[in-house]
Amino acid sequence: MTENEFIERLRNRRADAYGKLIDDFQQKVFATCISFVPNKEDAEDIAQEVFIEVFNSIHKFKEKSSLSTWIYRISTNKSLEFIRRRNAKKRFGFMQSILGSETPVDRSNYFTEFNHPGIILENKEKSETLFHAINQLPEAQKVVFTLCKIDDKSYQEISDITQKSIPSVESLMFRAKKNLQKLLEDFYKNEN
Amino acid sequence: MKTEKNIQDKVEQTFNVLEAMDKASVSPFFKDQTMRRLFTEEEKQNVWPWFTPKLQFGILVAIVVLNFLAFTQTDSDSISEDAIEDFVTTYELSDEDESSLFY
Repeated sequence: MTENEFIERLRNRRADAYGKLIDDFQQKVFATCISFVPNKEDAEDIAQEVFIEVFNSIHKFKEKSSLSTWIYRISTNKSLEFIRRRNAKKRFGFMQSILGSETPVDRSNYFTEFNHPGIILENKEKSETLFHAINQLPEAQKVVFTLCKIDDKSYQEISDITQKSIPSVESLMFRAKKNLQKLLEDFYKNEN
Repeated sequence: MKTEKNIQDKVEQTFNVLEAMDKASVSPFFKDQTMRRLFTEEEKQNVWPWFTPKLQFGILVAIVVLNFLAFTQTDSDSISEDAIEDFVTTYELSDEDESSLFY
């Protein structure tokens, strides 16, 4: 079956086509989501949202990029939406604490708790610090750094997903590394 | 100086964590849960599938236009005094003819 035929079956909402899509993509989509949000449950929820979005928007898919690139783009956007929502909730909690509300501040994170099955216990603290630093980067830098260094995507794949040229991706990567270095230095200076 | 080197070491160790990160696997029930969500949400969405957002918007615009026309084209002078008088008499709304056992 060609990709076009497969997309047509997805458009017709055939259960067997969605079964195959999930078989082929569940691991890849989950890997992208957990690269942005280091909590297994949160990442699985986001991955489910990704497949629901594919289901609802497949008729809008123009086939200008491959199906996999389009799915990775949705995965990235859904993960960013989740982080934005959590960060907004955190800010709202902070405002409530200033205004004397009883609601406790969500001091935790933009993820429920750090729970990444691929990280060994002795690296947990450092990983958590790194994820916090990544969250403080501007969004474009955050996306490029996460896709490249955590999700192991090539510059070409990142360029397709983000619809930016390879030189732009390289430039964003350079700035992300530089900013992260500074953020981590500041963090460890304050810790001492 | 020593502290500065310490900090640099810690930063480097933090970056090295990325190299030691393994792939995480999705839970075995993920596919079933997702398939269930996909096809139950579709059933929910199928209530009034013909009443699309475009149609909803069209109906809303039509209602607004009709209201606007009714408001602007109604000429208050065209309602004659006699017609109002008849209405008041028919529905006994006049204060003058009011009679009650309790007065």
